[in-house]
Order: sequence, then structure tokens, then C-alpha cells
Amino acid sequence: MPPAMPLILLPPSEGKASGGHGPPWAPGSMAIDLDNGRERVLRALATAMRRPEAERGRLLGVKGEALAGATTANRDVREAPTMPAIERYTGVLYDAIDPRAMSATHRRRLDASVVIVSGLWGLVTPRDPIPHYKLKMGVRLGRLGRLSTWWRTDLSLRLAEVSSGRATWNLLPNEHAVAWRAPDGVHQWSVRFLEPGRDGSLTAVSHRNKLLKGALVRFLVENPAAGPDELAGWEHPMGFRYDPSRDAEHEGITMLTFVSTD
Amino acid sequence: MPLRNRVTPFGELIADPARGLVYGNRGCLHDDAGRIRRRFDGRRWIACRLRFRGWHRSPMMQPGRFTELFFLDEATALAAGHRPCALCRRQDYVRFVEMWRDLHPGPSGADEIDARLHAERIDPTTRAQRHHEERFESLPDGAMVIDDGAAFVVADDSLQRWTPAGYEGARSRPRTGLATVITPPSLVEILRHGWHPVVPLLHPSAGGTAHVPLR
Repeated sequence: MPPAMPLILLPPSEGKASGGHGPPWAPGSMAIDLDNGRERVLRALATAMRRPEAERGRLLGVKGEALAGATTANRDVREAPTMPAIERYTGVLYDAIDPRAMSATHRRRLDASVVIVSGLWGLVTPRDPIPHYKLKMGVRLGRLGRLSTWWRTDLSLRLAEVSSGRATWNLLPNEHAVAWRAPDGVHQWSVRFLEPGRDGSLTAVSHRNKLLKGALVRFLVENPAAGPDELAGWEHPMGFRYDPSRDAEHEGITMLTFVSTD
Repeated sequence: MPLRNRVTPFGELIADPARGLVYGNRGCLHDDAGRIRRRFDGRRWIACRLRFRGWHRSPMMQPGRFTELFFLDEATALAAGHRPCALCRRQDYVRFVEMWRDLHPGPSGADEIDARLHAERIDPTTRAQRHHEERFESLPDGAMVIDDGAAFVVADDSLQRWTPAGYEGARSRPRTGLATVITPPSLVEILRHGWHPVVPLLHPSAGGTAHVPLR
């Protein structure tokens, strides 16, 4: 029996490809059924996009042309063409995963492993067709309130089912991590990357963090049964090595630490 | 005024002041005014603990959120076609999936389980609850049967009539003959394999040893 695919939780990216060739989003088109919630968020987003520019700017975190573009995308979200999420998301993390360069086998594993935690869609799998949009998980959206709180019960229930019998790699930033709670007894792994600061002490990598996580996702897709033991022998392509002595455990999550070898 | 969110073994939603021992949902069944508009919303019908990590849902029946349902006990939830929640009843869910895999080889994710259960609990033509027949002597404790239009739970050698407040009017279980069974066939098999959930299988009013206190 082949090993169960790990569950790899990722955030969406701010950077998104425009356009698409798929039909507009419709209920029933995504692998994980959360359509009731999606409909509520879509309605709340439509209402928010009718508010004055200043309010829209605060919600979306952009100004000027970027705000105009984001507003148009959000207003058109039900009619706009779609494309698979793994092609829609183009930020640093997804660039580093580089699914187009994967073999067909690894691409299938990626599709079976990754679940993206989204403020608009709840849970997205790589093949799910989605339109262009802009909405962060951490914002307060009208009557729904903060989206991470609003989604928490539904996402926790669905991820509890999806994670059954699988190793869970939680690569979410805090903004998205607070949108779900794991069942009791489900162990998660997360990662951090450390490099020497100016004073020589190890500090968390910030600007390259997504790039580094993207390479880890590639490794996990190529080695679906990998756990900490396998990571110990892995040379991260950007010059980091897993240091088991720095493992830290907190509330069911083991934080695995990679340290720069430069 | 009690909300219409108590579930009978027949899967119907009724308003009743009696308290249940099991919680659950089958999607959003109410409109924005809190009126029940549909019997189910989707195939994910789950049964949960009453208490979990101090989470509270208040007020109940919020617009667009799942409708909070209550069952007398696990036997009632199973009869109505609900399976254990993967989040709040993790151990039950894992064991349920293991037992399910023995019963139905092949994919056994939540979606596959829910699809099969949906076919067993709902007639696609009439959309009425499905029933099946089994011999009385083969039924496990916790299975629900129909007699004279009422629901009865099998408990040891007795059949006990279901009411929203508990069981009453025990009668002897027939030693032979066919029973009309409410509990879907796969869930009867789960009971037959020895189902000991973290929620009470039978309400204490059923007596006997088949009920398990809330942990």
C-alpha cells in the first residue's frame, strides 16, 4: 500500500495571475465542500466593494491603481474566468514550488497533498478553479467580522476529515494558522529557518521565508513519507540544514528548525 | 419556546424542551429568520460531543451557519444517519473509519463514507428515509426498528420505545421474524462490530449496561 500523501497547509499568495480560460466559479466546483461559507463571504465582499474608496482601501490594504484593480476583480469575481489555483497563485512561495517544472507524478502528489487556506474560499486544493480576487484572511469583512474567526469552525471540521491518517505539515503564517484548530491527538509539523544576524546570533529568516518553504514543499512532494529523520539528511538547496537539537514543541506542533550552513 | 432542532430516529426535526446527549449538524437548514427550510444541506451529517474545548455557539441558528441539532443519544444519531465528527470525536472517528474500511474496502475518506451513508439513508426518488429488513435476533444493541409506526431501540432482550425525553414502554424483543430497521445498514454493521463511543450510545432511561457516560 503506498504511503498516504502528507497534508501540506499553505497560505494563498498576494500575487495572482490575471485572466483564465475556465468557466466562472460556481458552487460544487471545488474539491472540499464549503460552498455555503463561500457564498456568504462572496456576498459580504460584494457589499464591501460598494463602500467608499477609503473603506475599500482599508479592507484590501492597497491604494490608487492597485485599489481600483482589486475592486474590479472583486466586483467581477462571480463572472470572471477561472484557472486552477496552483496557476492563479504566483507569489514567491508558489514560484519556489514551481509546479510546472515537476514531473507528472510529482504534480499529482502536489495536487493530492496541498490545501490552501483562503479568506475568500476557505480551503482550496491546487486543481480548484478560482477567479482573480483580493481578500486577506486577517481582515474584518462587514457582518462576518474577522474572516479567520468566521471560518474557524468550518475549516476545523473539514481539515479534521482531510487530515485523517496523514502527516500534517502546517506551513501557515499566523494570520492563516488561527483560522483552524487541529483535532486532539493530531500531530503537526511546522518549520522555521534561522540564519546568523549582524551580531552573529541566529535570527529568523523573514524576507526569504516563503522561498525557503517552497523548496521544502518540493522536497515533501518528492518524498511523501518524509518526516524529521529524512529531513536530517536533506541539503536544502538554498544552504540550510535541519537541526534536530533545536526542535521545539508547542500545543501539538513540533517546530523543526533549519539553520543556515553559510 | 424550544427551537425546532431536536432530531428523531426518523431524521425529522421537532421542537421539544427535552435535552439531548449528543449534538450534531447536517449543514445549514434554516433561513436568515431562523426558520427550518430544508431537511438537510449536503451529505456531511455528523454527530458531536455536547462540549468541546469550551467552544460556544451563541446565538444558535446564525444566518448561513450550520444548524445546531440535538439527539437523544448516539443510537438516535445513528438511526437518523449521522456519523461521528472527525474533530470533536477524533478517536471515535478514527475507529469508525477503521471499521468502515473492513466493511467497505476501497477509498474510505469522509466524502466516500458520506456518499455511501447518504445512499443508505435517503431514497433518491421519494427523498424519504430509507428502511431495511433484518432478523430481530441478529440486531445489535443500539439499532432502531419500527413497530406500529413508532421507533424502538434494541437493548439486550428488549425493545424500548423512543421519545424525545428518553425511552419508555419496554417490550420483549421477538426471538424470530423480520424487523423493519431504521438505522442504515452500514451503521448497523458498525454497532454489530462493537461500537463504544465517547458519547452515550443509549440514554440512561434505557437502563442496562449499553450506555456510556460522557467523558
